[in-house]
Amino acid sequence: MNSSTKTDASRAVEALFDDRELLALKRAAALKRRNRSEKRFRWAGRLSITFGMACVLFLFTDIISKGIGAFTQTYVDVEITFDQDQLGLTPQSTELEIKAASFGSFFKKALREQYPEVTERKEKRQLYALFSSDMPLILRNMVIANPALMGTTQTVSMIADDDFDTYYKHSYGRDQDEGDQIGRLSDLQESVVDSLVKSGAVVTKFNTILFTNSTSSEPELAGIKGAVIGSILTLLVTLALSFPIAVATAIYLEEFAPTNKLTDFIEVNINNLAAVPSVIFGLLGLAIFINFFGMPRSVPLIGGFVLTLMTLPTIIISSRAAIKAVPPSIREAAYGMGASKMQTVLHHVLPLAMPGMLTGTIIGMAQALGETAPLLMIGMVAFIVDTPTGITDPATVLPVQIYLWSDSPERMFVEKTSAAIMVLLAFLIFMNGFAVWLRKRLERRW
Amino acid sequence: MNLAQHTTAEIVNETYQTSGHPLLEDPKMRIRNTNVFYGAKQAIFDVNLDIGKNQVISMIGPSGCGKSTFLRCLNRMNDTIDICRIEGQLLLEEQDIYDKKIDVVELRARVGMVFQKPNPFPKSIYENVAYGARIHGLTDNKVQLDELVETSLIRCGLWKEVKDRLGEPATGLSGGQQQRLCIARAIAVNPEVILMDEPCSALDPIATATVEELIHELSENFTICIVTHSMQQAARVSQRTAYFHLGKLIEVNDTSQVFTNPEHQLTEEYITGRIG
Repeated sequence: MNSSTKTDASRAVEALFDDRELLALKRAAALKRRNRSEKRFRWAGRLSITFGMACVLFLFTDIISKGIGAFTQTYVDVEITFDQDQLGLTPQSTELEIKAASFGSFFKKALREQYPEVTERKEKRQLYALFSSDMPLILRNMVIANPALMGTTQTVSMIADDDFDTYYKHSYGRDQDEGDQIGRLSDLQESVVDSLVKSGAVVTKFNTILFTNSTSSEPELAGIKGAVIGSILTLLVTLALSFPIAVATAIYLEEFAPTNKLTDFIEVNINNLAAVPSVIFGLLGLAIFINFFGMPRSVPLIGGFVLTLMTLPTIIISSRAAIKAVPPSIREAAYGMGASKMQTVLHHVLPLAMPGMLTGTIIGMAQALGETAPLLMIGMVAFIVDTPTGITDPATVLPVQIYLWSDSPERMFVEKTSAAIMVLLAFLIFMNGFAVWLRKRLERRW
Repeated sequence: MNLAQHTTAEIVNETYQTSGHPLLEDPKMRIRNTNVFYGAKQAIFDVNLDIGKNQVISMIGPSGCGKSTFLRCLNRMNDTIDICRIEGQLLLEEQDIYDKKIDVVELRARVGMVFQKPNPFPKSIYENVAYGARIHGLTDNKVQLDELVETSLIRCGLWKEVKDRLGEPATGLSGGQQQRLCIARAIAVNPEVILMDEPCSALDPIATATVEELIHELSENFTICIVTHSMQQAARVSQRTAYFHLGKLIEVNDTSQVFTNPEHQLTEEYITGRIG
């Protein structure tokens, strides 16, 4: 059996050497197979790209269509008379006096005067609820800023309540069944809105509240300012710590460290750290910084520490790759000139590796910017209305804000969640664009 | 190749005697009983050689014969290779260059090097030439530095070509210009010895001729050791020639004698083209 196969095989090989026509036929068949598999591969590639692009497109359309509404806010122009008697204030009143005045009841009275037909207690409440609960405060601040307003009548742009806003932006004037209606307005409220719209008092403007306010339990007053500043402060701490540490580590490991078991061990561990789930770094930060060292919780400083731990491996790995990519001939040239190791690194290796290092750093920063889990662990998930002014003020960050808002049932928070996601994405795209630009710029020099 | 190995085994024993005249009176560098190892593998076997003052000595031999390794011992460039180990005595002006007291930075300022592939720093032409003076603190002010850069470039015949674009990247120069710039960079710190590791192998014939002429001119003031693949080049530029074979220094003689009347059989086989 074995010998006969062998003879078969040798006969076939003989035929190959004898018969060039057979050879050509076999080649043609092989070529066909090859072309076919190449084509298949190309199509598989195209398909996966299309699929990926479709997913991204779907994501973007979804986020933008949901979030675009949050960039406008409904206001109602209402004429308000700053009644001296009712408020007990004059244009000469001091700030303290103004602060003591009852703007709440003044505001309610002003509304009742606009709608004398509303008499019932329940209906009155519904009327007040059409406007942001912050309105009395806003009126008071107007008077504090300009006491001369007392006794005059002003057209005040009142912030519509989130239900009003949602109803006006999404349902008003559209034929819809009861069930489909968005918003939670009563019939009375709807009729008030209707009359306001007809009188031309209702306007939608670009929503500056989104960018000038921090979070709030009132959807129409919630903004991302605090979260954005929290993110920036946290990232600054992260950058200030992780870049120098990572670059120093990379340089030491690549240029100075002896090759032995210990450096191998360190290298393996750095690579492993890059794959550790980020929430673990949060737990580590909680255990070490907060529980052991007793540092304050919820602050950008600790957030920065934790994110530094998280981004270090990424930056170290890319920095090492950048250093490795520096041609050895440059090092030789420097050594040949009598440069010391330090001079070689500082004068020649580092400038050439810098674009790669910076790209790695920015990618690490972008990762840190989008990180939520480790920050939850150290308490940066708190409901913080004040805008942080320093790295030791309690703060939250943009992705955590998104996480918090996405939990809220109000329609307007759904919008604002998507809007905050858009802002976060804009930051990420900007950072990545900056990385590309920086790389091009630094590389173009030589 | 078979022939070469066969003859080597026959002719070169573990203890061997270099033919010709490896030793000189009052040399610039003295190399005695030098062995070089890469890990367990020995690359250079018991080399004894003197390098004469203001002379060009060329080192020839088939690929892998250790001539570059030997050259890189002369300014301790092999220090950067962890597994490399050097035994023996290497003296520069009667001073052991592997002495613990010798600073390698100082040594490399005295023994400069030009590499096979032109490797200018990715900086401006000016910065390339000025770099050595900067790190060794040779000039006191900008005017002196400008003067030094100009002198060095003039001596390398590059001044006319680059004087209007000193601030431009050196990497924009042609290969031959880059190599001459590397030579200018090396001589800007006024070394005593210049090591050249196949300086023309990446250049075209015209650039090669220019560089060879330059080597010839520089030999008035510098001691030059050049490793080359080209026997014609060795014949053109050097006064003495050393022939290496499988890590052993087979023959050292005046260049004219090596090429016209080699003493050793291996040398003859190499220069007549039977091995290599």
